[in-house]
Amino acid sequence: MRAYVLPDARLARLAGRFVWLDIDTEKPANAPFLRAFPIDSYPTLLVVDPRREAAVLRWTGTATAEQIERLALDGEREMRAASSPGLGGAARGPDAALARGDRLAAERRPADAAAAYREALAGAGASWRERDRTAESLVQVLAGAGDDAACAAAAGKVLPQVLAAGRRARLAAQGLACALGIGDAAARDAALRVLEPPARAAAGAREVLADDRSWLWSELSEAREALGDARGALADARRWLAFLDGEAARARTPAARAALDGQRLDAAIRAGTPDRMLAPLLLSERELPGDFVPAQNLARLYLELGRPAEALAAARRALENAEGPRRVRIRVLEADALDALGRRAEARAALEDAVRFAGELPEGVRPARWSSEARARLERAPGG
Amino acid sequence: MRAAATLLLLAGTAAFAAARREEPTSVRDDWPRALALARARDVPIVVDAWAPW
Repeated sequence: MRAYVLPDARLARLAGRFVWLDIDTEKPANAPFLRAFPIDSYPTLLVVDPRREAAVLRWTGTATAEQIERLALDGEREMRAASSPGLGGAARGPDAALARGDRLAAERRPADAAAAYREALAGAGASWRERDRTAESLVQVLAGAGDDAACAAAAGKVLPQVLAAGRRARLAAQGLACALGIGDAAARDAALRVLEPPARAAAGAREVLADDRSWLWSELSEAREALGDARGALADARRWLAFLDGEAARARTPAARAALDGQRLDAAIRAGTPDRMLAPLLLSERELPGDFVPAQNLARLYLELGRPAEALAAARRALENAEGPRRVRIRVLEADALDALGRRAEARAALEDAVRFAGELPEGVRPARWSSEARARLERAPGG
Repeated sequence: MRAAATLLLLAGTAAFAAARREEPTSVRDDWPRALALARARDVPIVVDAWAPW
């Protein structure tokens, strides 16, 4: 939003109607905000009613400037309706159900929100203006609820009716991600087979945001792997990497290029060519002093390349600048490097610090995956 | 001369005020300030919560 929404000319129409707040969740100064408004995935857009200090709308993932404008206006309408319920006439039918779903999603009640969004879709005609947005909100909240099977099924059902290519791309990517999380292999493969064709079509479509296209290639590659097609997975990983390399070549600033580093590293590892990322990551670290992310990526790469001493040094450089939740992940990288060097006691201390630090973070930004990963590794580590 | 300068100053102030009205108010990493501004204007806050990658 910072990069491409605030400068957008269409926001001039909204001048004076909103205050725009940019929150870097890695900054400790933002902890009070994050305690009040927990964030479950990135990026998240919230519309907050300042009088009640309550979120009235929550949107996860990317969106175009036009879509953010519509979301902001929906949130504004919800805020006015909450403060003056007798004025302006209450929304009815699918609009009322959509507003209820948005309110419940904002309150982090994704299962209840999903029921409201389903009600809205069921009660709306084919030409209802909010159909596509509601379909995307439904899949978002099912993913947020951790209901992978329902999320994948809903994505498969709504995709053929969604018109905008950008939304189809996000729905297909989210649907594939959910399908990959289904525990039962037969059900997972069946869901992947439904979602893969529209996902592949979306990956080649125009009007898809770069982040969403990258997400699609990543999920498509994983889907091929899950379906037992290693060659297909490799081919998709190479397509993903080629796309990201093109984006990096077009980036106008070192920061814009470095923002692609993590995805490029993922793609290069999946494509079996992680070494090609060494020069770009070293360049990012040189060009962005004080930013912990390039050093974190380098630590990961050096571990991948079997160079633990350099991985350890990079992890420690990253720790010098990382103050927020990412310290948990970096401590785990540090522990991995120490473990590979045979320094078991220090590895254990790094994991203990990761667990302690995670416990002190606001629930809203605690990195669930890496917190439990640190705990699990600590339990397995010798000397406990 | 003095009247002209006053008029210019007033015109400049008005233009500045108009320009301020047209600019979206953007706050970075300062929830209390965003909250105070939004309350004073009785407008919602649109929050972009993100993490560096």
